[in-house]
Amino acid sequence: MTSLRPILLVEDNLQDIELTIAALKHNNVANEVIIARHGGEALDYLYRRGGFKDRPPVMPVVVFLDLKMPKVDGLEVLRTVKGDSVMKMLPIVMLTSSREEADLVKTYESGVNAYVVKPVGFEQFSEAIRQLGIFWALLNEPSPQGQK
Amino acid sequence: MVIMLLTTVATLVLMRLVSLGYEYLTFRQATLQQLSTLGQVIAANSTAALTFENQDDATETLAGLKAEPHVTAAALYDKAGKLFARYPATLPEASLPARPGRAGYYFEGLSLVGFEPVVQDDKPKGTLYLKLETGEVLYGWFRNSLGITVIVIAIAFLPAYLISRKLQKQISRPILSLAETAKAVSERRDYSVRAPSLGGDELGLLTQAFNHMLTQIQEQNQTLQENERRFRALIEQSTDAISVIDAENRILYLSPSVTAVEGYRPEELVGRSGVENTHPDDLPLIREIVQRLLAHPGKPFPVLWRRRHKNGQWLWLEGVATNWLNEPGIRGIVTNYRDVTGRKASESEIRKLNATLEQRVTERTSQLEAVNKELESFSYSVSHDLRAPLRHISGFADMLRQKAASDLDETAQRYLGIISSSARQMGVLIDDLLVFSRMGRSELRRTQVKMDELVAEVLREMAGDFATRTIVWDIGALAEVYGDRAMLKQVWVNLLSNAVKYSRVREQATIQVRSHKNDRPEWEFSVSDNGAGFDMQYVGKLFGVFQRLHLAEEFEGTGIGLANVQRIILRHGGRVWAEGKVNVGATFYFTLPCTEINNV
Repeated sequence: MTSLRPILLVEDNLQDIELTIAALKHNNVANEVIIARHGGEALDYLYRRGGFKDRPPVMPVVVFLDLKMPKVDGLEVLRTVKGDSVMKMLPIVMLTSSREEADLVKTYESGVNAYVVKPVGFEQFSEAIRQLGIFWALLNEPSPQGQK
Repeated sequence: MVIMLLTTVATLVLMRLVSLGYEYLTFRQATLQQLSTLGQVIAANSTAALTFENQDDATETLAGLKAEPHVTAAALYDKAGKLFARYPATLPEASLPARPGRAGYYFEGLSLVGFEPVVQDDKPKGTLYLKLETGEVLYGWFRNSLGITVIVIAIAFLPAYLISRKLQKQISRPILSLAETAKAVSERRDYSVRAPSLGGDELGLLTQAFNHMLTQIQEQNQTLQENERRFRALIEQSTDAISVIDAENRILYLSPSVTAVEGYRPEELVGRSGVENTHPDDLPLIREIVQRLLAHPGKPFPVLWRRRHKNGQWLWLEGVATNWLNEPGIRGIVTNYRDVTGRKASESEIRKLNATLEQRVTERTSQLEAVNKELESFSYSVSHDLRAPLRHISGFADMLRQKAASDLDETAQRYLGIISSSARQMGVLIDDLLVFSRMGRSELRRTQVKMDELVAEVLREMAGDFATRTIVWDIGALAEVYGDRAMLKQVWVNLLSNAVKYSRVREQATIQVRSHKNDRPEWEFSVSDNGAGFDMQYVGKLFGVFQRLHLAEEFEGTGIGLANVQRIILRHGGRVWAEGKVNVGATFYFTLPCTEINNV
């Protein structure tokens, strides 16, 4: 646990970023949280380009990806990652406000690893983050074969 | 009658002629016999005179022939054949045969002559010659015979006349009356007359047969007349006009109803060309149809064309034309047609309306599609954007409470609690609304659904909610239906959780689930509980969105559940309704159409 890989949080909404980080902290998830404010930035980070050209070549343990974002949305990021033979092993959790069935279907079709609807209550939200953190950041070391 | 009499006379004459011939032959034979007997007598009497060569005796013997006036000549020849005596004594020698001929008698013209040998003791003594003039005898005989004949005929004529008169009554008169009847029939074409019936003989049979024939002709005639009247009535009283034209489109016949259709009286148009009043644009069509008619005798062709009414207006006519040119008794192209101008107008009106309707439908559809699209993006943004601030309100209120718990007094903490619980409540409302909206928009994915299994599944999932309760579940055998499984599950979840929720006022709740096929027929399901029930006065509000019959403190809930149930069942083509009584219980019913698995 000394060399914890970071969690990539892709989220445009500052309040949601704060709530997510608070929930992770609250649940003692110690991984570094890297923030991308939209899909483009997320892809820049993952592919080490633009502002992230010089970042250390460590892949995140999991990506928490919001669906609805300006510029490049979550679905596009998901499709890019899951369409990449190297990247596709990277676990991606959709963390979104949307309960829309169409979104759910599209993301699962694109190979998402989990789909979490952010609950309105903080306690439930915190609980969801806790479970995700434990599963993806602490327990689930990404296998070379990926999830799907 | 004349013929009959002539026949009789001719028969009599013929018979008399035959009889005369026979009598003549008999007469000749008798005369010959007579002369022969006379010859033998005279020959016998002359033997002595010849033996003694006594010429005077011989002459005297011959003179005895005076008694026979028809014997005109006689002679005796001696053995040597020399004339010995003659009669009458004055008769010149030359008129007698020079020498005696062969013995025997024969006719020489009208004379009968004969040579009789004079024999004594088988010794020839000479020969006797006799000559009889038959002419006079024959004349007398003929005269007698003719007289007899005339008398016989005269006598026969009277009965013949009487008999023929009598027969005429029996034969001629019936034949005459038969002939008269036939004449009457043929002249007056009156098949109702009958020949008078006459007994049972051949003539009676003939009359009967004739009358029978007349009856048949009369019946046929009557049938023909009735048929003609019927068809004429059909043609003339039909609202359809009927025309008969020849191959050159010349009008041969028009039924009276043409006046009602085209304004013209038939006689105004008959003989004229059918082309005259036809719309110029339709002439090629008419020509084409006539060609087709000529090519296919007896085959009906539909025809729709325009003709000008007498008042100048164009009419749309529709009919059926058939080529009966080869049909004896018709010999024309028969068309029955009617005025469809009104219908054509309505049709074009309908077409116009249809076009505008289609346009309106298209417009309305695109409007609806736009609205639907809007609704979708609305609910999408509700789902995302409206929930996010709520989450933040509730999240930060909770964090504030945790962070500042010690610094805040009870009232302040309660306020924070209200803030976060209200935010949560609004989240639930939004979620419910989104589900409700989705129920109306999403496509039905129908499959065979075994309601037994579905109810069991729902109860398994709900089990945690009523673990502390005492509930008697009475679930009958449930039908298999064809529908969207997820949506139907939603129906059961709502109805069963309602039953559980509203029956918690009972120590022991009883919840009954039933299904049966009603007489519409459709599957009817019901969920009954012995819970709080409701006032039937408000039954109309039960299925409305966010309509509640209980206070939130009494029974929690947003009031969307039954609205969802109704929406789902309506979308499946079923019905929902409810019955209830306050503090007794409630029963919720829904129906689904019976669809055979084979028809799926």
